[in-house]
Amino acid sequence: MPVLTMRDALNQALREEMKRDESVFLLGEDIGLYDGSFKVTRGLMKEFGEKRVLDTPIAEEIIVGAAIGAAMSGLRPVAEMMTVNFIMVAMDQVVNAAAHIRYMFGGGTKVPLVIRTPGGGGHQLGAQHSHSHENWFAHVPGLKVVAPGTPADAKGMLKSAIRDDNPVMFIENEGTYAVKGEVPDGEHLVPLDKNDVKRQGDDITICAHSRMLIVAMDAATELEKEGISAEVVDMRALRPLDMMPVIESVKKTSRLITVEEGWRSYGVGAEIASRVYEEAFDYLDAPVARIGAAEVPAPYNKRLEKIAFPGKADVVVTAKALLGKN
Amino acid sequence: MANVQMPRLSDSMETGKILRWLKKEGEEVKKGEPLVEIESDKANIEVEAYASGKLSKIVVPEGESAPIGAVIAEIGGAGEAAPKAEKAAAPQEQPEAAEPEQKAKPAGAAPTKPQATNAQAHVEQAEKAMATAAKKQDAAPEPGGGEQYPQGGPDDRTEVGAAAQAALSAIRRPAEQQDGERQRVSPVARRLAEEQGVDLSRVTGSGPGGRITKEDVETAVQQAAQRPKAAPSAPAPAERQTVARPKDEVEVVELSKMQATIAMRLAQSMFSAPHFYVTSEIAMDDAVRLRQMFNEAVSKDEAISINDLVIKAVALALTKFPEVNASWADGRIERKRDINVGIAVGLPDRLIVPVLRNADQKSLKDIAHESRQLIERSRTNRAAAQDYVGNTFSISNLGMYDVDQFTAIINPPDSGILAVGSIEDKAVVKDGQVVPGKRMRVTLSVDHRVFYGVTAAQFLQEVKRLLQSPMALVL
Repeated sequence: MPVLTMRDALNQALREEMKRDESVFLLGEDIGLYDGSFKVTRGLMKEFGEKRVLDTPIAEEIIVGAAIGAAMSGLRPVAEMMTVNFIMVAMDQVVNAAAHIRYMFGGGTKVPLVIRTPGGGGHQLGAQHSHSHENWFAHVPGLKVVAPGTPADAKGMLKSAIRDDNPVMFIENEGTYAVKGEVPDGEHLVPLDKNDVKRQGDDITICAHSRMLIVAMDAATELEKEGISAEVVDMRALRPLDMMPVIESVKKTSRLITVEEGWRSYGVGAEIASRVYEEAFDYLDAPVARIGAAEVPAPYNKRLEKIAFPGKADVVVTAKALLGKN
Repeated sequence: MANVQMPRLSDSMETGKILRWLKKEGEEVKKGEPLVEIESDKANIEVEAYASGKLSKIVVPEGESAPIGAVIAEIGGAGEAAPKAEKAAAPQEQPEAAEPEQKAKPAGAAPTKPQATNAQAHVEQAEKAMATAAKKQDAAPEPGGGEQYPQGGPDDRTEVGAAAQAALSAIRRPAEQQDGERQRVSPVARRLAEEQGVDLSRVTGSGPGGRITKEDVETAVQQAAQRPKAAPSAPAPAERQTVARPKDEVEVVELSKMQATIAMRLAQSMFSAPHFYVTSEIAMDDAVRLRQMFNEAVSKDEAISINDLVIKAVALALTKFPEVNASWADGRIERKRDINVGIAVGLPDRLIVPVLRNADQKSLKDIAHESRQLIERSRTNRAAAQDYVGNTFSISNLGMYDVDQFTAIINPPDSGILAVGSIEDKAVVKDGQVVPGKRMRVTLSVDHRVFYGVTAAQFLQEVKRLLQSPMALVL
């Protein structure tokens, strides 16, 4: 199987879907001539022309608004927000329009829209460029929210998202674009509502999505050296939230750590923990441990930034603490 | 352009003194060349330039001191006019391609090349940046996932960061609290203990703050299972089952949680406590008469049963035999100060033993009242958890079902249980005459680890004496 970077896997998904369905088009800042800020759309304007790859002004509300209109009119737009931090000015369009329109029109119209946008920090880009906000969207009925952490899932979920008749928030991560992995050629679809056990284990469950999946996998490898067998559940499907693999896993391990790159408060881990308390309380041997970013605006200072975002060490130490081993 | 700052030359250093500038203002300096000699609190050290360019300005002259981090000189780019000292160094480590050009670049960082004038040039510039970034990645793939985070640096922090602090403090918090009142038990440990019939008060918690964990309960179950070796002497069930029956002829009955607990606890008792049995026949004529008289004197709600008389007799006997009112506790014997009598209540689908507390101190009337309520609550599933705990001795009465006698399995943590049969009209010999009499057979089951045959016999005699002289029960 070919090994691709996440960036190229996403590019492949876009290219394949644009070839497959000519109602698919892209719009966003610098995605055409400049090939995208993170080079995900490289070569697509050259291949598909300026009508299907639109360079837009720096105006996120217009990008999303235009995309919603196009989607309601029968096209399948894929809008890119340069980073998820910039979508704040378009929140009215995302929540009040995209998420609710199909419901408010009694199903009379649908919004087959994908908004691709990377979150994540760790690159010294400061507090206005480094946050993760997938939980904001996962709060809203009417939106689907996915956040893959491997190139194969990125490709398969982006293709599924483009074919879905509902607005999908497709959350990428700046720190994963160069991550490499095997990616199936051609038609490879991954469902938007299925989470996935990425590593089997017996002693403790770690669930994470997007870049934190990689952190969790690295931590599991580290823990194995110390005789701790960790199961890693990829929470790539955030809304609708597929809890089944987590519940099954917790019934086996009795201990759970959630890892997310965003802040803990009101976060993804908070939701997962609540559901586990509701569905698997009698299986828990310790409280659910939530790891997330420090509750500060992301620091610019390199050292501060390094301790503000979760890393392997945080997961390893927390896992051992939960198992009473340190 | 770059600032030269006073370096930290030792851990204890606070300021450094400029001994000698090795380059003059306006002279070209190469990265790595000796630039300045500095005296710290420990030694004199030659410090190298870490940027190339013209030494555009010496801020701190020879002989003067400056604190760590203070700008002591400025090195500008070749031919570049010296900019202001306070301006930050250009973020050279930032990978060009990773950065969202338009929004992310700090305002001060001017492109090294004239601004692209058309889109094509822009694309070329980006491609070049991409190529540089890719080269960097390929050239130095860092071990341990470094390549996976080419834009953010490797995940090489080994100490816990701020990210896990909140989680860790939540996990470790119980260890700091000293709460002797409530036993800490994890949900899964509590459930397992219930299912397996483990007495949590006997389990030591190994989790944070002494929390009893799943593992602790599993260990307790294992230890309990290892203790008994004695195989039941009943005919080996395996043999009977060798003739296989068609599957559909068997009705599989799943146990309720409570039935599973009962099964576990009774098996545990039977297979860990070595039982022996002592039977005695008690003349109940006076007790029956006393009960009749008593019940005629009180309202129907206050009526007493034979079982109430037995409870009272047992409780009073226990006050004289503390060795019977005791428990086997892992190699020791615990004598209980309270006398709490468990009353076995049989229901079609389960067996429960509500506990009548301090029965020795209660009047017959109170015992009757309380036992009626306990039994009623148990039958209607309204009993509280504390109704079932604290027993020190139990009574199982099948008298109402016309049984002569039977043996009962000890109800943990007790070490004795009295099995009470029916009162029968019998021909008995009294003063050399055969006369009618009311007789009841009781069988005491004993945990032989806790007390022995003679004590058992004496205890039973005392129960018998009390029931045969029942006025002692109403006093």
